[in-house]
Amino acid sequence: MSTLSTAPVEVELPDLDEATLTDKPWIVVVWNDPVNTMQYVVWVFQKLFGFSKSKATKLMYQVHYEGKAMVSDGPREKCEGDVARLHAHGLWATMEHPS
Amino acid sequence: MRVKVRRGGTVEVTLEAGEAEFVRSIPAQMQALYDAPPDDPARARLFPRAYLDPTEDRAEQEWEALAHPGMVRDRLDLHSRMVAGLDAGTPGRRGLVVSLDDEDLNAWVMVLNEMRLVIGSRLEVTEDTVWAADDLAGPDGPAIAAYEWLGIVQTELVEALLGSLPD
Repeated sequence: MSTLSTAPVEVELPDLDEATLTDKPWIVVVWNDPVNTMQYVVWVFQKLFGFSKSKATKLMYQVHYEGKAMVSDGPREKCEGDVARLHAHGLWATMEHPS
Repeated sequence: MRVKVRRGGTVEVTLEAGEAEFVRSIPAQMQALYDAPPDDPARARLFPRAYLDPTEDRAEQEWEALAHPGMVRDRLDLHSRMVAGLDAGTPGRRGLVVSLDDEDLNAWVMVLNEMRLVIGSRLEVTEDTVWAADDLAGPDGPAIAAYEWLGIVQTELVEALLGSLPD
């Protein structure tokens, strides 16, 4: 028969932040910049995300005229990968939770 | 630089001596920049943050540590491919003739774009930047000329690449 200690036991819970627990999605935003050309941005969007020329162009114009556009979404790791690929192509992209 | 799209998809690029020399000089300039201090604005433009939210600083550090080495390696691979293309070029009547397939085109477009970003950063280019004759004659002249040349060439090469993508 085991004897139980009467002293309180401290249990250490793993450090799960709210985002992991609720699996909050992330979005990837591409920001306008004064150097990248329009055609180049369209090409990058088509190459990286398989968008049609029409969709890629629409997103490019959104970046150009509205200052930014959402180009992808998903779990943190996927978005981090997308950001890295966009940076590798010279675009400025960041990730955030959708508001 | 002349760009000719051949049947079958390869692109033939003819570079005058000065142009070939400039393109050849790009990898060394870029590699020097990869080693520059992180607060160098041109370097910062090449390796920006993924997270704007300062509460995600830990994720930012982890992502940088993971992604950065691969990003540099990939860029070096693109440089190698571009230089290999130049080395395989043959002298023609109008200059060095280089034949580029889709992978070469991809490398040239990306490397030339990167160089343009760096020059744009050094020149502090904004949406409203317009250059006058005085600027071209001044100390920034060569950089401005390079920036403009890169824009024109890159646009032609991207057109060739876009032509091979589905609508």
